[in-house]
Amino acid sequence: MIATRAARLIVLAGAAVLCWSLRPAPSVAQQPPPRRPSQDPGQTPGPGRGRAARGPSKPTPRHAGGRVNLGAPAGESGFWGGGGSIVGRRGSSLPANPEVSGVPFQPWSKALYDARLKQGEKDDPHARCLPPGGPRQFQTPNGFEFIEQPERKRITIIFGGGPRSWRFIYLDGRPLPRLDDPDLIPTYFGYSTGRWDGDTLVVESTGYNEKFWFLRGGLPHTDALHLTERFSRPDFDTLKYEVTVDDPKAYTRPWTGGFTVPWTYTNWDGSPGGEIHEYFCQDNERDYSRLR
Amino acid sequence: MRPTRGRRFDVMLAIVLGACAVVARSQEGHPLVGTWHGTWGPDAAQRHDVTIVLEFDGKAITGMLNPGPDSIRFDQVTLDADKWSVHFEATPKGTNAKPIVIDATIHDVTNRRRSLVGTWTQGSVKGDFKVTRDD
Repeated sequence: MIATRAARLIVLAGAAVLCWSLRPAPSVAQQPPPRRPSQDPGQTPGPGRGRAARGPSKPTPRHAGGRVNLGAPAGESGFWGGGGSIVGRRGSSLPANPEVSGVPFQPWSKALYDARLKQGEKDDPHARCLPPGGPRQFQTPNGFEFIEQPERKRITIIFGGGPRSWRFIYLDGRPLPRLDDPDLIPTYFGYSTGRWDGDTLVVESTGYNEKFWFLRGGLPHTDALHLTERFSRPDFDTLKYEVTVDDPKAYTRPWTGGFTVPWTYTNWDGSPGGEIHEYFCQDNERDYSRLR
Repeated sequence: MRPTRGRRFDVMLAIVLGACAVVARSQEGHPLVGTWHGTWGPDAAQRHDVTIVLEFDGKAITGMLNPGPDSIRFDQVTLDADKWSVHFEATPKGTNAKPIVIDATIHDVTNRRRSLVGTWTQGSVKGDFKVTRDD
């Protein structure tokens, strides 16, 4: 009897340990784990990363030829955290941003935007772990990193958040696809070509599908969306992102907004390192069933 | 087995609808754009299948009713975004055909599986109408 009771206790303890070890990782569609340094839009760099933790920023890093390096210099690590919004002027958003009242909506797109807000953004595709194209890709927690590939004449941006996506920016002078091309397959990240204008990387993109919201909050877009993005690094710790939104089906004229993004020196748990950790939106996603 | 005329029509309709589905790839953009399926009829016993395909070029909403050999292009589609109400007018082929007028409201407009619910009027016949947008 004693042996049986002990065996039961061992089995119970073992089961408890097993259950604890198999507990789901703390991840949901858009929220970072609790101990992670905050990267919510509108927040300035917090302890452990960015200029606030390290005093004045170092100068902009450059490659041997003098061109700006948008990534970590050789021998160092780090990545870019989440950015602010291209609408409104709070936090890290740029002071020249339009407020929502200044966005040149078409009547239908304003009404749809209002409806999305009124319903608490319950139908945001990102809550179903679909990729976030446009400026939204830089608003997603868990950061992003530029990987320059001169031998392939392209820059790859990898994203640590959402469904762990990546995006190519081609620097080989290829033209953008024509939107009236019947063979064009619209995509979440569109098709991007870039060029350097001094210290600024200027990227033109088009060919987007309509399966995502291109900004948090649900500003609508259509398949006519054309983005002109400008990436610059005024100092080591700051990425400046500006984007001109040209979508004549959703807005009456092009409009521009942007935000800054802080350089991140730490890992997700605040330890030194600055490496993007493994995260998949789909893993343990529990939001969507509660949004219906 | 030799296909019947009805079966051939079904196959042809499926091909046309398949082609339309490729064109109608929108989901989160203009809330009317896409392919919608449902029925209309004067009562629960008399239902007629309806397929609607709509597009938006930035200014006007255009589209067709029941794509296939007997498709009907809409003469007019207007959206009142304040109320999400939609008015359709279409003229069927044939000298004795009566014009079709549909007045509907978009239900659950933020949902990718939103619906158009309203009335279908054709001459003296009036019925309820409901179509749901394809995902």
